[in-house]
Amino acid sequence: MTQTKHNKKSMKSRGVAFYSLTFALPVIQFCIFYIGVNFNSILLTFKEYDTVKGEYSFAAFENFSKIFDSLSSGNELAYAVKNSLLLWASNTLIGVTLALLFSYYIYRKKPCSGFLRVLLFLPQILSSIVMSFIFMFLVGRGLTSIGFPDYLNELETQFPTLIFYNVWVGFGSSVLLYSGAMGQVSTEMLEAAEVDGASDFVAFIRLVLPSIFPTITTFLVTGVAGIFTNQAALFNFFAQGAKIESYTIGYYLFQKVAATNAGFSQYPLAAAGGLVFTFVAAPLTLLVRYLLEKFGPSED
Amino acid sequence: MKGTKVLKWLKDNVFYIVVGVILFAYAFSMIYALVWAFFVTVKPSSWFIDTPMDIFKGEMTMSHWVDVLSKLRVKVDGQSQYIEQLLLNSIVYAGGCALVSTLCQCIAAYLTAKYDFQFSKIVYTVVIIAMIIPIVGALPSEMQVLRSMGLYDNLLGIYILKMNFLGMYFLVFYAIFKSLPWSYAESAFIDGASHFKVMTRIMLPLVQTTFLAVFLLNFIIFWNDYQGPMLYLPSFPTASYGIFYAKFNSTDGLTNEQSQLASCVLAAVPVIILFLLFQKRLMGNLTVGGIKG
Repeated sequence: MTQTKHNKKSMKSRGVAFYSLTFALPVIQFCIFYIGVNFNSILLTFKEYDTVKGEYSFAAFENFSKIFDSLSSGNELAYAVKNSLLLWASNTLIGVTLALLFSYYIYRKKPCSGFLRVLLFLPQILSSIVMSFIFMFLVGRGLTSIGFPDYLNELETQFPTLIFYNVWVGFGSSVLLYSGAMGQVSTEMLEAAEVDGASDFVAFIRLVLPSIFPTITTFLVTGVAGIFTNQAALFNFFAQGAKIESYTIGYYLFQKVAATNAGFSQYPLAAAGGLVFTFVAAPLTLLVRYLLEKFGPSED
Repeated sequence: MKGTKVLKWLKDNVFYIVVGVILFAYAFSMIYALVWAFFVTVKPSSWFIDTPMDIFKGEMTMSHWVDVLSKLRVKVDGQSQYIEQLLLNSIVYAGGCALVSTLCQCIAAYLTAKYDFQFSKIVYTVVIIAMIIPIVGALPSEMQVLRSMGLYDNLLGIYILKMNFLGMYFLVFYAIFKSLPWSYAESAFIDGASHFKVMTRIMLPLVQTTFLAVFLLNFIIFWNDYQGPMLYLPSFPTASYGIFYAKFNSTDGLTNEQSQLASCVLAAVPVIILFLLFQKRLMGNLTVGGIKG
């Protein structure tokens, strides 16, 4: 008996040792590169970089002042916020709607659904730089040769063209996951609806969508976070040379770090911008999640 | 009578017909773009200037592909790295990052799902919170931390950066491990197996199909990524970065647009082959339910 108790205790302590040792490295990584990086990011917002001395110094709220000036003066960030919201609205209203409709078509195994499922996934498999370059040459060389304007390089049409591009390549994985979720819907329920005379459209709206609403919620909630991170493929098409009128928040923050003329002096401003938008993004994401769960359709 | 049947069929299927028309129009646009891109890479320069939309006109030429193999390069500290080095860098970058990322998420999910300690609950909550609450603009800080730790511009650094358990695939592995019976492990413990052996010889092999699918998806993501190598590994340019570099940085080397598009097709070939070989696994049932927490 004592031996069994001893064995059990020994097994438990070895389990704790194994658990602790195995988790050690990922936890340390998390502490440094999630907690540490975000803490450092907050500290960076209060600094400025002296390019002559090559060091950071305390700058109080100067970076925040520049960010709010840019937002209110109708400059870079003002355009970025407007365009980011437009992009999100397009992706949500057009992209999510079409993805759901296409997923239902594939789920109901209509003509060529197997082939279409593969084709819709293809833009996710191919590199964003590959898809961007194909689109860039098709629009800039191909369509202009038959009389169309250069939609990507003309100011009035540049951002609408980018919206079209982002919706065009953005279906992929969401169609896969939506049709996977639809596969969990009870076929008896759909058959019963058919017997009752409900059309396919009514079955889609009243039965299928409520059943997969948790999956839709996931995409809608992460889509809100995407308002602040989506570069809209601007860096693919233009590197650091995009027109200010086409900026998005994601592109504005990224090119502060990545552009060839970026440097340590841009880091504090980018960090300040990131912090300001985090304070908007975090509660907004939670609010959207709350509203969707409270007012969204339920399976009942 | 026949007309009535047709009308009834149309009325019963109008929803699918409308969706089908839009879907086929989308499919046509995607196929046309990809086919056109291929023809651009095998047509002469005069065709590209005069009639770039008429894919049936003009001869074929492999000169742009020869250009890619001889001229696609990235200059690092004055030295040029050509296509074979770029492809090798891509394999090392994509393979290594995909492996550490997938392994870390898988093992973290296993420990969280199977070891009922308080810390497991904390880890699960942290993953959910990190997915729900976005952090914007941490990139400058991340670059600063990497440089200060001596992990910037080296492979070990990027592998450590990608060795995190946050993300959707943690939840995928967690759900699978939660559903696996612990009786296999208990039998092994009785036979004297250690916890490490149980994990590596019994539990991980049970999820190998999902592990492979997640690894392949991550491999494709990292293979296609050009911004990661550009930011974190400037001395190890990958093929995807090479394409970007050729378009925006190179005043010599691959300046011809058709050759640049040929480099795009070349970079896409490995992932297309992977996709065709493992299509069912890649498009299999990696389901994501709601975010609960």
